[in-house]
Amino acid sequence: MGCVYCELRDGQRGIKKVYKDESTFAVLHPNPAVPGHVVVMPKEHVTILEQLSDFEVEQLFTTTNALSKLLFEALPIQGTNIIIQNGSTAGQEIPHVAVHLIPRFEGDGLSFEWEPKKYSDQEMSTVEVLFRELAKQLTFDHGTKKEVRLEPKKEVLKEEPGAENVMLRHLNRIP
Amino acid sequence: MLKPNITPDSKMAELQEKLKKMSPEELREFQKKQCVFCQIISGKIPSKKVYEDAVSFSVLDINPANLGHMLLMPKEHYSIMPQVPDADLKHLFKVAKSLSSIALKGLKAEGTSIFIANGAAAGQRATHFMVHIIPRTQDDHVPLSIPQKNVQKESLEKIRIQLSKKVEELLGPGYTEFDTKSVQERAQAKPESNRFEQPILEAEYTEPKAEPKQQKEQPKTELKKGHLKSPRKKESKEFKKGEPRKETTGESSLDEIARVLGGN
Repeated sequence: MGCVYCELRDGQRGIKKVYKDESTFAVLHPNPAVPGHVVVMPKEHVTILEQLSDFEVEQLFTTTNALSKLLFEALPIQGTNIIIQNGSTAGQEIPHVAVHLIPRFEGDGLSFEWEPKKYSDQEMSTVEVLFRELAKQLTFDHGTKKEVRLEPKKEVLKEEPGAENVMLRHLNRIP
Repeated sequence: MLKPNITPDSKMAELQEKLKKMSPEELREFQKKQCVFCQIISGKIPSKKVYEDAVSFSVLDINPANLGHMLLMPKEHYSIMPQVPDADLKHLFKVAKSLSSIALKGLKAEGTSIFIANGAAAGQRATHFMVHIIPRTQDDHVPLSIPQKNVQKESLEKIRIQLSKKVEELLGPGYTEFDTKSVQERAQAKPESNRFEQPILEAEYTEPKAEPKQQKEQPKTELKKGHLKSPRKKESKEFKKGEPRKETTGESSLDEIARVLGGN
């Protein structure tokens, strides 16, 4: 069985990529939640995030962040949602890790707001302790591989006047 | 979530006046002081902390979408993802991956949703950038499914060209499938043709198909620092010489602040 995203990667579906590099690529979703909905994927076919190496995770989110900045510049948007459906229970339809980058503007008719659920103090504390114990074993690979990305990327993004404005705008919000 | 008290109009006007005069650094400092999550991170407000290291901090959400819903944030105050430095962001998502696997292992969850809202329009409530990690089970009614709509191919194509053009502008042709045919055509076109007849500023905004960027043609395959930088600098000079740069969305105006404040 072929994977749709692998076919996209290999250019078999006639959909042009908006971004590609050594380890990641991105396309516009053909059936977008809103216009400008971008899907960012690792080239390697793995099903869930946990199967990616730390290095691949870094690459995936560097691309995602760069594209989210580009979206702010290229389209008149007011925000973005980033959603990863990790597993079919979380709504994942294609078994290939994908980061959905969804531009948002007021009145776009989308809403991802959930109703908070109530749990007892005991339930919450049990999970807290359990998670904290598991988290103690975490170690991170601080990148032994060489960065594949080319230098100009960061510098150029910083120079962008649009990016500056987006940041300024969000500084004006107070809680 | 915390709801701010409603401020009287006079106070509001005063506050807006103050905000307007602040430099970006002062604004950030101001926002940081008001930020509940900065206080949680510094320990002034008690929380159910799950993980902490030099860069990141994770707690259980007190209004969880599901049991085990975690919030992961950078310790430094940033309001949206584009502000976070790449190095911190990379680390943050490695932690996110690990916390997600903790949720899968610890709670025997069947999946996780990783969710980020950047900006009030995206449903962001606090001004501290954060990643939600939500353990998922069948039929848990967490509304994080992504709707799929049918759109016209033409409008999709228009956005694709717009975005690819931005990517190509910043990184060169190797990073996108902008339009192979037009790239070839542009490569064959005589360099320098009407380069001086058309002001650079205007060329920037002509239709994507109109081959505005002849000066970028020759070094097609190899991306070099200099080649990217020089044309961009020219553009920004043009901006200054001509009329004042238009702010596309009118951000940081008083109206915008009022709207944002009102929306909270």
